[in-house]
Amino acid sequence: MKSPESGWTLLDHTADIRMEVRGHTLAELFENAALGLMDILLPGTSVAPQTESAISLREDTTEELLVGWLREIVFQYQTAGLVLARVEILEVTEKQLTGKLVYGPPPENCQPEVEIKGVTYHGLTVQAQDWGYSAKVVFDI
Amino acid sequence: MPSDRPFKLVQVDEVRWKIPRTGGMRVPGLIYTDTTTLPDIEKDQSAEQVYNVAHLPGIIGHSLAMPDVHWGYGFPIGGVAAFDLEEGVVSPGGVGYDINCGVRLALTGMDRETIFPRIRKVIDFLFVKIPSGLGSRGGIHLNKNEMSKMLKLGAAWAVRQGMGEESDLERIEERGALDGADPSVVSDRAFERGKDQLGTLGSGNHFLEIGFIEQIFDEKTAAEWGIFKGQVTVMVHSGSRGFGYQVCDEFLARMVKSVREERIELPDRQLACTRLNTSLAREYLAAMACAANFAFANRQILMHLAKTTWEEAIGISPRELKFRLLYDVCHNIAKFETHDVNGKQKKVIVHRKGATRSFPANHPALPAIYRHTGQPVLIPGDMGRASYVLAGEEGAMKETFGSACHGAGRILSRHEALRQTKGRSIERELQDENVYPRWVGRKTLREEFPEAYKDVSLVVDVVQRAGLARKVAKIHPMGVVKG
Repeated sequence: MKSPESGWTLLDHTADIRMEVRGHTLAELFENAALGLMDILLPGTSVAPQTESAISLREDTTEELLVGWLREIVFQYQTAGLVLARVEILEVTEKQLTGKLVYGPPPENCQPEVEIKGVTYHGLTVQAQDWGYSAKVVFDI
Repeated sequence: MPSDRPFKLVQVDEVRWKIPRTGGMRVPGLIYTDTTTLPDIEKDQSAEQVYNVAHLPGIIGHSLAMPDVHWGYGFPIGGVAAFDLEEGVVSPGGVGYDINCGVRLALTGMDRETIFPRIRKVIDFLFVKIPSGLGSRGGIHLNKNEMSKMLKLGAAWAVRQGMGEESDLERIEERGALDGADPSVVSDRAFERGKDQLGTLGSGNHFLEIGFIEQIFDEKTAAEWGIFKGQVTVMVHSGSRGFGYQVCDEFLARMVKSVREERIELPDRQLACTRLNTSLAREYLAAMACAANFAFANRQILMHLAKTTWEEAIGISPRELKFRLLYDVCHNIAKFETHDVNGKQKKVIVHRKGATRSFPANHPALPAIYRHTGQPVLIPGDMGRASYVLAGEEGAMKETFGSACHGAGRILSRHEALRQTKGRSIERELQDENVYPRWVGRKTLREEFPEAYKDVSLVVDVVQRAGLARKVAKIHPMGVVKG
């Protein structure tokens, strides 16, 4: 099978937003999930890196690790207005992640497209593929 | 309906479709719909979600879906499920992220003819004065101590601050405050996420709408409630904002783990739950009550802002405006209620996820003003067509643990709504129908255009034919503020 392009795609969902993410490595999957989430909030927006915070997560499953990772980004955006400039994943295994979230200030007059209430567990999957990893996640909006 | 589904959908009568018990289902499913609205249900995964909820421990009667049911996450939106207090569970996903998202309706003494020429001015003022939109922040900033008081008192906190009347409280479900709210179990993150959002509308399908009574179906009840044809109304739809989202988020994450320890098998992780006899259940219910009370306070503040802004916009006194709350109902909630279970009155916990309580006449939980009519059941529709005021009926107590629908029910994804509205001016289309909109989000009007929803008139017809509530009046929108 031809390796699909690394990245993210939005899938149809009646009331909410469903995202499919792909990465050739687990680190790339988590990075793309974070960038895909930011692209849902502020499509096509790039910001200059200004501040960074270390993140360390440990969960029982890779799916829960992905939810925990995305929840952190939603929280920082909604409380402090921090826009993700990039992520640096130092180490990721199936149950553990350490890395850095690098933020910048939102551009002026920048309105988010949606308000994400929560990162849900509904239909949540992280699957190893021949070519890497894929995941599906639904955001409540 | 796809044939690969592990269940059948069997028509019982003209408004009821059953999912007979199969596999791990503990009870059958029951969907209220008709041949007109059934195709919408068949298009998405809401019937699967009704089937999934039927697997939860301690569920009683049926896993229920109201006629506005649509695909949610975990529970369907429009889902109702009651659980036994000994065997059963509480599920944050069965309440939702926007805990106590709900709607309230106020009546005025004004008629349509008087307001119609000035509707733009009123809506423009409301748009400026009522914080709305994504992550909107309000003018109320509370320290943790004061916020904790608000979380215990709910709407009464706002009344004590001068926002509304003491008499409003009896016109709010649970008098505007759920018992058992304990701010000490709420995380700092929830306080942080909600701290500046009190008195804000939010985004998406939240709104403030001015409308008028277009049609009356039940003259006697309408007269008792002070509703008359042509009367101008104000409806507010909002919830617990970031505070509730964070409460749900955190308890879901804990319960995703606890289900493994409790050995609860789930067909969907979003149904994560805990048995009602655990300390985690008690903590969640105490935190959920705080979020519910945040929402009650929020809607009380929003309604007060609407009233004072209106008076300012058209230079009218409170005496002339005669602004009066009809009722305030929860749409996303879990509550301890007493219901008939196999012929015996039993206390259960009812989850309403996108559903409205619909208690009939003579129900002891109702205030004296609604004791002999049944409670007002407020059903907002889309922003272009109509909304309804219904009254609770006995059928709801017999079949749905005192519940009816909560709205029209979404049928188009936001992506599809944008596709279908490409090149259209929804603003102009609404104005052609004499509805004046103001909105914040770039895509809000197109994502929320009327055809993105079922026709609410069809939905409430099913509710009435099923005996869950009776139609009292129909409201036509005149102007709307959207987030």
